[in-house]
Amino acid sequence: MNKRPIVLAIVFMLTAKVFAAAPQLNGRAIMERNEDARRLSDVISNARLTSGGEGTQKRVKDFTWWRKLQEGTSLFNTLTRFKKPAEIKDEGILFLEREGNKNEILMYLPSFKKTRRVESQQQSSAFMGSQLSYSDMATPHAADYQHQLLRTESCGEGEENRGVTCYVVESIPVSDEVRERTGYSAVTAWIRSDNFMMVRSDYKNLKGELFKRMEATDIRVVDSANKKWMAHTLSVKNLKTGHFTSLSFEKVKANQGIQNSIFTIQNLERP
Amino acid sequence: MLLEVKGLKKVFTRGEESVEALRGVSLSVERGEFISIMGPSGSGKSTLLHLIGGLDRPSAGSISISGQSIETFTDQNLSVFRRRKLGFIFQFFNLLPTLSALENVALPLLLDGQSLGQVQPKAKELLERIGMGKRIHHLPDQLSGGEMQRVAIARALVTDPLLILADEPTGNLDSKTGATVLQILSELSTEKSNTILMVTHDAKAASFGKRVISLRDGQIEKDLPASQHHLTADVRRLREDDAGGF
Amino acid sequence: MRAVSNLFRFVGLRHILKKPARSLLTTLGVSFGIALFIAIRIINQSTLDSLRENIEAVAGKTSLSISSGDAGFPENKIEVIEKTPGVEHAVPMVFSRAFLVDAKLNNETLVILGVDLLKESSVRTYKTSDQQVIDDPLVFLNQPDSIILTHEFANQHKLGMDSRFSLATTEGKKTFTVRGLLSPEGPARAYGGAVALMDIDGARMTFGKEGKVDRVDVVVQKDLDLDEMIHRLESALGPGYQVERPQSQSAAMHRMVKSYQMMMSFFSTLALLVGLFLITNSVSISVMERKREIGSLRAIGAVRSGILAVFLAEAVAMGIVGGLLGAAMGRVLASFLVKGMSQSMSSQYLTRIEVSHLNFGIQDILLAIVLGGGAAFFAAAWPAYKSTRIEPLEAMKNRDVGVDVAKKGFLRFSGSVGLVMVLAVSVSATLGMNQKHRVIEFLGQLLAILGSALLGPSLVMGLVRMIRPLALPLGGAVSRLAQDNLIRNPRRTASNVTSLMVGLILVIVVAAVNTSFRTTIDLWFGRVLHSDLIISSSGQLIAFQTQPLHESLAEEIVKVPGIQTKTEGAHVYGVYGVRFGHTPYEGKQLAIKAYDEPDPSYKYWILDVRDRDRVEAGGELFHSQEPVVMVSRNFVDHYDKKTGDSIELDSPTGRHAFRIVGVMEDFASDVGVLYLNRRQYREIWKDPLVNSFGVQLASGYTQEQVRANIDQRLGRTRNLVVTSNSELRKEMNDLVDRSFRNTRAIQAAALLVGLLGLLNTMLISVMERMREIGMLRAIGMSRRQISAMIIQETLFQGALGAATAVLLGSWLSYIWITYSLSNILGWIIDFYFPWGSIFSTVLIGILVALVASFFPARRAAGLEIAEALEYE
Repeated sequence: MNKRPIVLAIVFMLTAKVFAAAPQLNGRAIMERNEDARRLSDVISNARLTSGGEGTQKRVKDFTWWRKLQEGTSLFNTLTRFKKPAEIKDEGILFLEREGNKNEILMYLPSFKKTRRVESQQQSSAFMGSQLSYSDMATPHAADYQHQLLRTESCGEGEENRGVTCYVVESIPVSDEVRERTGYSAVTAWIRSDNFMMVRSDYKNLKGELFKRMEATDIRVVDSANKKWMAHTLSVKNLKTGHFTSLSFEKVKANQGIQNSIFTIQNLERP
Repeated sequence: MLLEVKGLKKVFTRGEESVEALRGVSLSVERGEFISIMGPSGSGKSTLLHLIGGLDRPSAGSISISGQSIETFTDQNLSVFRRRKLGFIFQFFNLLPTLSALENVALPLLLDGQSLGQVQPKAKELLERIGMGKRIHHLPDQLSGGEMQRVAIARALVTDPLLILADEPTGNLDSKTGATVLQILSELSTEKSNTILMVTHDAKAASFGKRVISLRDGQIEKDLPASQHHLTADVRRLREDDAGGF
Repeated sequence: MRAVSNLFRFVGLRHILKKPARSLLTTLGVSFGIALFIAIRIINQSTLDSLRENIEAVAGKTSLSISSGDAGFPENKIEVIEKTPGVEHAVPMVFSRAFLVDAKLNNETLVILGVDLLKESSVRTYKTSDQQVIDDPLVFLNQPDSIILTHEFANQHKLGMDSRFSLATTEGKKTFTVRGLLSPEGPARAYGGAVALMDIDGARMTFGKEGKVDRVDVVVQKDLDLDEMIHRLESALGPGYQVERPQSQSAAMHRMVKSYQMMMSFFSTLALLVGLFLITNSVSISVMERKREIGSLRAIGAVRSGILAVFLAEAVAMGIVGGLLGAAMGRVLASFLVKGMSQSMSSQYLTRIEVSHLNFGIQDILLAIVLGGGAAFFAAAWPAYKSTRIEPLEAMKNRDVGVDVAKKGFLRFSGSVGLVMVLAVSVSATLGMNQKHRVIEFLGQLLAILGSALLGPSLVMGLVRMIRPLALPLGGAVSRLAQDNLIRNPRRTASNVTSLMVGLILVIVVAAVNTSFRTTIDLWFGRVLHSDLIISSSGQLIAFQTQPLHESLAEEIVKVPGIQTKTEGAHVYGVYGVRFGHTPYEGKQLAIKAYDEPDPSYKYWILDVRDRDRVEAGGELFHSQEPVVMVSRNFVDHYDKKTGDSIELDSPTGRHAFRIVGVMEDFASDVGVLYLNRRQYREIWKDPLVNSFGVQLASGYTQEQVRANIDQRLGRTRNLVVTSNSELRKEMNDLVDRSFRNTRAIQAAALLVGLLGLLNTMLISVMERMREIGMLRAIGMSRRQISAMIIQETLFQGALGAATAVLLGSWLSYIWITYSLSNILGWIIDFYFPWGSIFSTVLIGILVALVASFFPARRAAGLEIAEALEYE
């Protein structure tokens, strides 16, 4: 009997299974799929930002969040209105993404009844006293980076991620401008191979040191018609100082048909 | 002729008054002579010595040493002349208090630009010759009057001078020490052919010289060998009789 | 060459080493003078460096800064600046001074920078360890009471994150919360760490600068020509705005402190000259002492130039050692003086000036050496020259030390030369020649000291001759002998006294300057300060270092019981506000005082008008429709303007012409002071703030009552302070005194030098007279009597020195104060004779003499008779 075909068949079956488990994709493609999975046309949500860690007080901020995709682009407008604590009640931050990354960030201070502009230099600095920066709050764009698939591995042992394979992609900013704006020299992301949502990111600062880690949990579908997902909890930890920030969303409503007028200075100044 | 003085005059002015210290003195000195210059105070003997030694300038007359007319010298030249050609011995020793005996002796040559190292051997030898070999590093205030004068003599000799000028060299010494010093001077003249001019008011001291010139009122009164000069003749005889010497 | 070095080595050096005490005395004298000179130099230089560093620390990456006087300019101009082509970033700043109020933090100034924290990083970097400077920006920015302190300041005052503390503001006392901490880098380095950051809007609200900005820092695009940018910005903004490089700001600061520094340098140069004088004296004495030695050297063949070289070399050697010592001493002295000096300058210039570190380097040491050696060379020149005149015949003489057989006419000659010099200095000062050049001014000082030194002995001789017939009958035998000694030898007495005299002259000059300043200002103040009580916020009122208050406060003050009011038509007189500020004029800063109109029945007594009728001038100042101004006397001196002329001033509302309606006296600035009426000032500068309010007591009320009333009604909530007329006057005097406190060091140095000089000469004097003393002892004078004789001689000489110093010192002070100092300092000060100081100076002179007499007296008394008689 000729054994060769059986061997071939077995080999074929085995390899087919491997291939079936993870479709062949490169880094860029993966990240583009990720961006797509997050691209909600609009969303309103309540949110809670908790910051703490050794040597700092635990601070909790509650706010409402509006976000809308600008017509025909992948750029978002975001309005954040704070509700608690009392010191920051009615403060608002309007984030208008612009092409070429000339984002406009405006802050409304109710004590002065004035709107202030945040300079672009500041965008890599901490947002709201958290471990997130302004540019983190902006939706990262795949086009800003060069991506490379490093490997695939298990997404983790947590309940949510058990049994799921993750792509591990390393992203490096394409230009100095992106580096400056984001404050990162490299980002390594774990992307779920099933829904292309990020479950974990490791960030390296401009010195090349690994300093920040973000974990996304409670990832749910928020727009089933368009297959859009959102992580309901983001946890960020500063690996150097041990400080952490946790951002959790609830009552997330997508596709509400938010008006463009929400994202104007006039509206910003009317809490 | 080593020294020739012609018609030397010196007038001192003090305010309104003028005093003629020398009124025309002429003399000549050969090499190797030991001359005592005597006279009462005010006779001009010190003035004569000062003029010959270039320490002061004459009002008139000439002074020729080894053919050079020093009365025409500039101050600079006189200083150099004194340094190289003359040797001085003073009544009050005039050693520099901060220098050792050796350094004092070396001083004229140091002034001439030689280094201590170069001069030291000669200075040392001179000091030994006059019996100061064990005291060469002593400072003047550690020496007796006689010792100081001996150092002064060595200093006067260090440049091999043409002429040694001594102004009352024993004036500040007791008679025994004084005699020793005069003996040294005498030997320098007889054995080494040094020419010595000594001013003194003391007949005993003057008798050590071979020739005595006495001055009175600014002029030479007598110029005779010591054995014939009235001031010294007796003293010399007395000394010669006392064969043991002083 | 070898000959000279031999001479130096065997004669000069030996001599220095043989007389270590004497050499040391001389060297010390030089080093004191140099120490002071170097100390002042170090402090001056370090102050300038600190000022520059302050400015650089705050400037960061700024290319250009835009400002408009003290009152700031409108916020909307920021947009104009931003839109000017070439501007990359325009970052606004509000700049304030606040005062700590809490009991434990009494009266400390905090410089507050109100910045747009969202824009700052383009210009300045703030850091704090590893964290963010601000913990929570959302909270920080929204709370007007948020403040960021430096770690240093916070630690000093035991404050930490979220601590609360109070500051005095225009709105009264306010509490702030620390919401950020800074490391001492960049701007946090400035002002010795007493700097705080607030968000600009919070600062505006707190300090009454809503809608305004004090400064805009601009970062210009790379490779653009800065001068071109300055031009563009000036055109875009219009008149009234200064656009300058950060370096010009430090240049401005330098100019500001220049006059104080120059005054200190003036004094220290004088002290140095006095020190040099000691060398001249010392070398002269040395020459005299060593006549026989010099004669001997000449006799055995040293040339004149060799002798000259010996004495010069000795002097230079001591000068160099003195210089080195002086450099070290100067460095130490600087650390002692710096605090006082910077405090003086801070009071004078209304800016906190702190010297963060003293710069002392190799260049200062080299300077000290060159100064010491070089000056010693010149100081020794004359006596060294005299040494070459010594004839070989001196060797013959048995006098141990020569009495100076200087020809009789010589003293007359030198006295005349001295007189000519002093007159020359007087004439040139009167003609104002000194201000032309630093070098001429220095030469003037030199001539004055030299002239005094030459003239002094003749004066003393004259005094001694005058005293002769009077003194002889006085006192017992010992006194008579003492007096005889001095009178018999007027020349020796005169030269003994000279160094003490020169030192005392300096003491008198310094005292005269102090007294003249104090009296001039005190009298002026008495003329113009008429309010019974002055109300302000806390701080140093006399230096206008208080938080300005809003003018509307006057309406509340006028209601306080006990305040005299008068109603004339619609106008209520009673509370008079004064606004103090600065405005730029021809590259410098003029002081402005804007006054509310006082009750006319007081005939404008606040105005010390000098060139016309005060009532007329005052009427014009307060009632003229067109802009008018009064100018100070020193303004007229500097800018050559007079009443009737017009000057142009820049303001936020543009350039305006002001007609001069009178010339008055005011000392608020060394550049010039302008008086305006506050109505016009407010209109033109758009500034409603006031630094202080003056009030009169109503009849029947006492000061205490009204103070209590004011405190009760207003004081507590607003942290107001009430100062009385006499208290304010005292504050003014204290301020002037503080400014001059450091001149004590100069006086001390001068006295030390004088003491050393007198000690030196007395020792010589005793030595000179060994035989004489031996003879006195031989005939029966006891040791105690000898001692008493020497002491009396010295005391007498001290008195003579003091007397001559008073004469010459007063004359020189008059000349310098009236002419030179006014030019140097920028103020016109009237000369007032320092009577009190004169008495103390004479006393000190005598005391110094007493101290100086101790050692020589002991020496003289301790002599063995035989030794003295035989002394060679």
